[in-house]
Amino acid sequence: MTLVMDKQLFCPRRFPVLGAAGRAMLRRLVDHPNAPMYRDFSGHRLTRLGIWRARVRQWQVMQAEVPWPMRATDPPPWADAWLRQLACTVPAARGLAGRPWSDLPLVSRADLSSALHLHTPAGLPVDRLLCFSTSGTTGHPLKVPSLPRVAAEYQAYHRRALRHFGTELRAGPGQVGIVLAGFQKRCFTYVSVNPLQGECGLAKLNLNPDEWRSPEDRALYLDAMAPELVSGDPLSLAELAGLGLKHRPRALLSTSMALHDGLRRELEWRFRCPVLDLYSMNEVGPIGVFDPKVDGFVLLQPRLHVEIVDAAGQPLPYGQFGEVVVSGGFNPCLPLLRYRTGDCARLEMSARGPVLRGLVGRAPVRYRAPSGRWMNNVELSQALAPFPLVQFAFHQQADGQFVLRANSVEPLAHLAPQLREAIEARFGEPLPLTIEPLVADDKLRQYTSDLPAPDIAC
Amino acid sequence: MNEVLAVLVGGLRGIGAAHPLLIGATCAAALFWAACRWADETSAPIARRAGGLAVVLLGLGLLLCLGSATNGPPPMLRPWQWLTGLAVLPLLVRSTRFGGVAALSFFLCLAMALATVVGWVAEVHVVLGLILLAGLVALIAAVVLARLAPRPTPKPVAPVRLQARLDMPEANEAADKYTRE
Repeated sequence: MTLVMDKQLFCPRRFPVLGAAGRAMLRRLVDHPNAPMYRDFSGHRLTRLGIWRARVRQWQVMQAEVPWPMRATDPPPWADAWLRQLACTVPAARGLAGRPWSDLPLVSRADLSSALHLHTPAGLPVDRLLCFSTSGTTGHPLKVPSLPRVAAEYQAYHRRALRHFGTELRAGPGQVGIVLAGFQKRCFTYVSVNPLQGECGLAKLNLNPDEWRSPEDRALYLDAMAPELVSGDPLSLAELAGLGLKHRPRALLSTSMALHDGLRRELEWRFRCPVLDLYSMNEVGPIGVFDPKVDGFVLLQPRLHVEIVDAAGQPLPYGQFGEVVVSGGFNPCLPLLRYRTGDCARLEMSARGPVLRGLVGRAPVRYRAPSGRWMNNVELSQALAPFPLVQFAFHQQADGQFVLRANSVEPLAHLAPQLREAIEARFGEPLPLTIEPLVADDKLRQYTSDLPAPDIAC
Repeated sequence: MNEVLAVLVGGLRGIGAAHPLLIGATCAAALFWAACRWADETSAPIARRAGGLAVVLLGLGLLLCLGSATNGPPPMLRPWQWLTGLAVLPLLVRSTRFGGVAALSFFLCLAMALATVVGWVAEVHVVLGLILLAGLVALIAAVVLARLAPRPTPKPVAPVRLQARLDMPEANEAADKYTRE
């Protein structure tokens, strides 16, 4: 057992407010005999005022309704006032106030990645910023500036999504609220508590057996902690389903990659609980939740305008297929004005409000090593994260050969040996890999493969 | 000259001596309006400063009005009581159980202390009238300047500073989210 000192575990910087119940919960999560190796530290970072503010925001989000314009091409009712504010605070929006909505320029991830400072408000509290890094699928790594209260607001949207399925959260003091499960070679793992729910527990853990003393500990630990919710991506949830848990969470949340219908049904049958497929992005937060009854993603954010645009950036009417573009959101550090998500869908009316149907764009990609072992694209994102790549694309050909095309800040000739070393280390074996320069293309898919994907159902 | 001054002082006394509920309600509404003007990022800096000044003056006026009303006669608290309150109550503000009551009681003691101190040097109602009038003038100035003064042009955050912060391990520890994207 790795001993974690109180000083590290209860650090006031990460937990400005931490009561006796919270301390006991953190100790329980870390000191359990079957606990995994927690490698990192994080926390809610909310002050007493921040906690009250988060409670009020949660109430507001739960009460608010998503605006529903008669024509999909109409701007949201709050557009004019919001645009006036942006024009005075965000350099990239200067001079845009008063212009027709459809004439406003679209913003891509490449724009944010290359000049983030022009898209953040002038009065940003830089010294208090948090960072959520994202690799995305368009090949432009992005560091999203955020604040603790923005992170806390995610819960409000998750509650809203859960309410669609008739599930209300009940975890309180002494219980574990959520386990965030990853299934990667390495991932950020830590324990925390939720001050909005009586300091119930939160654990972000890795289901990779290498992170546990024994593979059986995974099921024993999760059964002992009995989390109310489990969130993860389809790969980690599929792994979770194979552990033979006795505990039944009240719901599973799937994000980060597309959740196939078969796997969703399999997980629902296995855990006898709703499985929520969330359409969520680091830059935007939770956008929608898939509701099988309306066969689409029900929109979650009242202050997020979602539109579908054609290739020329013009808004399309309901029912037409095009790129999903969003405006607004709840992150004051990165107000999005007509931001291109890179995903495509149709916006349609349904009995449960506006829905996105036919969403395309987040399929997980897995690669086969020469030894026959499969590796997912998240692993590659991590392996390539330390390198100063402006844009890159990783492809596996039908004959098993790999091609990495990269556009880097440093000369690629210098970087190529290090890139090869990092990728081969992650695969754990030498690879038939070619590294080539990449000509910038905004529509690039970052991860592709010509090989048929393996079955990831449970 | 003395007559003008006497009329002015009489007018201020008239404002300050109005019913505390009338002053309180008006002042609270004006304070809210001033706070909105102060927080409006789309206004010129001078308009926001005027709004901020109005917030300070009207807030002070509200506190003095409360102190004047509770100070008597007969006073709600004796001097030793509000002095003790000012010394002890801040220690309880962090308490989960008593924090809210302690904060409210502290403001009551502060209001009584303010009214007492002001009463030593001048007539409380005249000072209250002067503060309220000045606060309203500042609020009107903020509203007018917000319409007349040119709107600010945003200056970008220094890219090096922003990037340096986003690269810091402390920033990358981030905070709890229920999902990862």
